[in-house]
Amino acid sequence: MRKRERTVIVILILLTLFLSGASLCIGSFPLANEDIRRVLTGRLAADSLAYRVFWNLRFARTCMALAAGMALGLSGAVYQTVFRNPLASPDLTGVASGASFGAAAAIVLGAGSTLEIMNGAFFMGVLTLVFVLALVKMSGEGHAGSYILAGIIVSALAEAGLMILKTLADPERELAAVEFWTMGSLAGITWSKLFPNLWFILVPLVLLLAMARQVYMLSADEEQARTMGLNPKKWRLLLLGLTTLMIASMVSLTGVIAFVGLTAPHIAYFLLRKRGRGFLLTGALCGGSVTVIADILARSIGTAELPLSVMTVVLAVPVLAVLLCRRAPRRGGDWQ
Amino acid sequence: MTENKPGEQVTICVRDLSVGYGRPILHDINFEAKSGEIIGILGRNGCGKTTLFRGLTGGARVFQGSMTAGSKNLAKMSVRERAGQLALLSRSAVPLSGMRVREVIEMGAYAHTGFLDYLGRRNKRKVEGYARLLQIEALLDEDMGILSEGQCQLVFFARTLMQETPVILLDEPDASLDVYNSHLLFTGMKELTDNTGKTALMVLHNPQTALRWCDRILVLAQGTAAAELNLHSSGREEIQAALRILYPEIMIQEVRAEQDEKITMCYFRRRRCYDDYQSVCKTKDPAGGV
Repeated sequence: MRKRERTVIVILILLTLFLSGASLCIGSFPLANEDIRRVLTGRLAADSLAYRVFWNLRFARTCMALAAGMALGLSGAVYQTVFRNPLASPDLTGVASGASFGAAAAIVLGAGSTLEIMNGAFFMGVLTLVFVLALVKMSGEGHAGSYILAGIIVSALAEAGLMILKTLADPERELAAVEFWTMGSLAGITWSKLFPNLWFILVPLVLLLAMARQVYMLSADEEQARTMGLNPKKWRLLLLGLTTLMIASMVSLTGVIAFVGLTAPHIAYFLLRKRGRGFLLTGALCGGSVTVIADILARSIGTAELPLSVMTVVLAVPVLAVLLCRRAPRRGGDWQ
Repeated sequence: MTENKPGEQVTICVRDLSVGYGRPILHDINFEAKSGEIIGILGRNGCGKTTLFRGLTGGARVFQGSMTAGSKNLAKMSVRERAGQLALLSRSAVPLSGMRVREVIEMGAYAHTGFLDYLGRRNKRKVEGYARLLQIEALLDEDMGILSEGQCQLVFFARTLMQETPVILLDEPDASLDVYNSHLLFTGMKELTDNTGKTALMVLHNPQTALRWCDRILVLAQGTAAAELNLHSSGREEIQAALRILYPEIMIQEVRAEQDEKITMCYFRRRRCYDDYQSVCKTKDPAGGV
């Protein structure tokens, strides 16, 4: 059993590295392999076009694709485990809907500058969690189900707000910008834009991976977790906080990337055949690979760049369909 | 873990305890347990046995009284410290499908295992040891989702032992076990209390199980501890009187078994209630009925 776990993780790491390498070599600007080699060995001036395209555009973009995918895959795996629900995705607390609302508000009501959109999306994304927690607190119970229901309520509210903003928007420019943002894209990513958001993605990512043990234990019910020495309320709050911080930072840069967070944990379960040790890391790596592939396809198919969510959905749907059909009855490990 | 000599040290002590949720369900509970003892808690459905355990582990509200484990106040402990004193085998455990049995048992070690020990799988041998004790070694690499309810219960019992606490609380541990598996469970518990000085508190439904395995019995009725019984020093009459608080017609008998071991048995006489049924049916309905 332990062998399988290790094999899967090693293969996925190699695959992710390979895909990232491919992503560095592919793009609309013609960079020959020769150029890339010269950039990497430092034999090309720092102000040459090739150097800037490679480091500032491609490298930044690949880093972002990888970080975004891993963040989505990991938070999907965390939520599906903690809430014992195969439908849970990073948007469980409405963070993506909230962020979309924030971005749309910046575009329609504000000036729509990049910085404003980023901040609007980030703060509204984080705010959704505050609302969700307030609702759960008001309900008086802390059951897993209350979080899911509260998330649906907050998410619906944000969607309604988004619709109002869309009707107010100027259909020529603003509406198009809002629509484009909600489909996700890595086209505008540059090295300078990555910071400080990249830290807000990477630090929670590492912390969450280190908390795997607590995540698995929280999938037992509250009484079990407590009598084994894990304070369920405290840890659930911490996990929700870190995940939301990570996803809000990511979404505010890339826009909404659909389906990766839901699919990656299912692929991880298919590969590992369990949801214990190694599941979170596998989920993160699956998410990273899927997003990097989707980004490569988005910018190499067709003349204009396609929205990222189109590609992630196109990739995820067949995978999910295959996994659904291969699900033998009572193989064990399935949620009721 | 400290290895106590049986019968010397008080491991858990409860004084004037009132416990419940919105309002108290149990009040004025007093008992103490020494290392190496097995204490049975008997009571009818809904009398608050599980609530007592929840009070001890922090899942119910304590209105009054004190609870100490070792020499420390339980109510003032953090969740993790408390889990170092008390382990609970509860009835509400979800089967955790998708996890391996091995991983589920290992979870029990959380309170006394650091991050690096977890990464290094330092508890592997202990997990296997407890699996051997309960004869579930063959299941270690299985998925929890395919186990039967009884097998799950043994896995959760192994996880409870994995906590290595001085006191173990068992809430109807034999509820879904077949006869032999419950024998394994109680033998395992008895061996551990005898050899390592652990204390076990067990909520039981079958008085026969309590008579067979416990040193003392606490009878819960009308929201309080109605009787406390030492099975080693009490005679047949005394035991029968105490148990009849709960089970009015119970009969107690002492039997000599192999090697002159004395076993206390209990049974109910057959009750003739068909006449009661008929007497009600045959009565004419005074209102003329529909």
